[in-house]
Amino acid sequence: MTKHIHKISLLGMAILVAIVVGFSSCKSQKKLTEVSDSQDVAQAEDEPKEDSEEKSTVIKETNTRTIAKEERLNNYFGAIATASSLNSANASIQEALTMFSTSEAPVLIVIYKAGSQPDYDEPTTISKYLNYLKDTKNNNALVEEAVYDTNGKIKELVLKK
Amino acid sequence: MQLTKYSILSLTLLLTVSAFAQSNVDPRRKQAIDSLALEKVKDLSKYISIIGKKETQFSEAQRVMDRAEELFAEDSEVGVSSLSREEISYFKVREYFERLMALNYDKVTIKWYDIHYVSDLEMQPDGTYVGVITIYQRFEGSSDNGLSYKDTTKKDITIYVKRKETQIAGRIIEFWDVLLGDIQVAETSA
Amino acid sequence: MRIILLFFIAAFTVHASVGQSELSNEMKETEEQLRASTKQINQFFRRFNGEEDEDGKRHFETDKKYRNPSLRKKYMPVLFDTQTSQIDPNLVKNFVRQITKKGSPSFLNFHEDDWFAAVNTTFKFKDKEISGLLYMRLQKQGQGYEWIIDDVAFDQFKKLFDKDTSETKKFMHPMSHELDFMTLRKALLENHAEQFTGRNYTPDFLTIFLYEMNLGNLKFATVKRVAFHFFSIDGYYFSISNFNRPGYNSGWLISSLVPLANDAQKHQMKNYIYDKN
Repeated sequence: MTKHIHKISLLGMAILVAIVVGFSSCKSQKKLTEVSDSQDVAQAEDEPKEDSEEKSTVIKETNTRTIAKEERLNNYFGAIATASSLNSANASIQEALTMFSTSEAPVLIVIYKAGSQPDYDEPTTISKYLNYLKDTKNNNALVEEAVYDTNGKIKELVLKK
Repeated sequence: MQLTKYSILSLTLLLTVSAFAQSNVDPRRKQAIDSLALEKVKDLSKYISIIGKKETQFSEAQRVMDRAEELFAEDSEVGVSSLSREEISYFKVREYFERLMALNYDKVTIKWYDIHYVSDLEMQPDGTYVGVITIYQRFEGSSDNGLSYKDTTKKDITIYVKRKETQIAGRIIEFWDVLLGDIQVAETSA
Repeated sequence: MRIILLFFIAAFTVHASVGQSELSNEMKETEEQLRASTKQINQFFRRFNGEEDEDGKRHFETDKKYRNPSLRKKYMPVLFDTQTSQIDPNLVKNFVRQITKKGSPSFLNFHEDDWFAAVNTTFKFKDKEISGLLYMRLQKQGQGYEWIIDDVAFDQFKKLFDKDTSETKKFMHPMSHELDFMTLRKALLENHAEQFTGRNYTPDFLTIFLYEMNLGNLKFATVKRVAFHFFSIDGYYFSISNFNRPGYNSGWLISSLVPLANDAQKHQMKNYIYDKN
């Protein structure tokens, strides 16, 4: 009797694992990716630590700061799309734009990813994108990656639908 | 022995699921492009709702009409037919929006049914993909003097999908360019 | 354990269930009817072939339900106009049985099949409004396909041709050649010079149509109605039309179904549709 149940649970787990792995490999995941290019990351504060530890702390801190910035940007998107008035939407747009090196900073939107080369929607600028959010209230893209300039401002943005 | 059987079964399942995502047709990519095209149509729907609303200021309506026009390929037209007249009236897209804005009602409500049908994408002789998306709109207009009008229209919207490339920060980026084209508007008896 | 497993499988099934909360009950009922409607010719093909589900979601080749015979048997009655067309239900049954036949089912092929459109149009001919039928087909071109005008039928042109094929028809006598064909003078005085053409002569109305268009005498006004004619299924002809009405039987539906016993009958039907009798 117990042997029978044990076999079923093994089968069940095997199928479950197969489905989870299979679907997760092709289902679009909305998660923040870490910034890979350390050159464009904002300067870290000096800290009295050993060399190797210092490097890993610096990266950890800048990653945390970067993720916080990206969260902030996602929040602005939400604020613009759900704004109750044109004025509040425009105010949020102006605030969000301060995070960028220029209002013409390019924005790439990934619509599908299979393999190394993602499929993009037509590239736009951050100013156009924010106004699009205001007009259509269509906020279904999250920050996938942000490229920063030496002043810590975003000079290029990648979103994913 | 049983363990081997289960392993084979789960492996088969695993392969089936991942093969689906990478088959020749790549249905997932097609779905992503369909979603992109459908999004443009939904954007148009939102713009139309704003343009038709009486509360929208003239300058704001003009700005939204500009954004709406950007969705379309050049020379796109709207063909409108009604149940009372078999003959179709043709308008340039901009003209169609302006007529919508100029409708003589005190209150206008535009709603969209949650139905959309996306056709297959067919290849034109020039390599551009072309398809049609069908949506249904509910229009209700009323005036203070008691005049009211309601209709449900079927909108068949042409979409053009083309692979294009552009330069961003020194690198070549390939993207899917989706433009709307001619629209057929037909009043339904629904 | 099995139940939990099934639950997980079900949970992974993506099901779009977005609806506008503002829809009234009346609109919700209408929405169901619009969902049932065969909204595009594309949808007609997909439903005929069993390549989409009730919600219009596409089945792909890798899907289990793709072209499933029971799915097609279930769908086919939905594709017939059951309100105004008087198609024999037995004929429908035989038709469905044939196209879902195990081992040799039949499917519609958008690019390859023998099907065409008959477009009922209005033109302006020298300031007069006239009707005309345009017969159109898909043709391979460049990297893809295009629709072309295959033939036309205009009363305006047809009425100009009236070939007398009786035994008492006018003729140019067999010794005309000895007088350098002086008989042409009297023959070509009257209308209907087509009496003096070969036995197998038939006017080419497409050429006349193009000629008048290029001269500027003929101008397109509008499309009134479109019907599609299918000779894709062995032994059958059917046509589809657009039924714009409330209810659950609307959109592009089969409006006529005719059995064709042989090629001769097929040829006859085509001639009838092309107005070549």
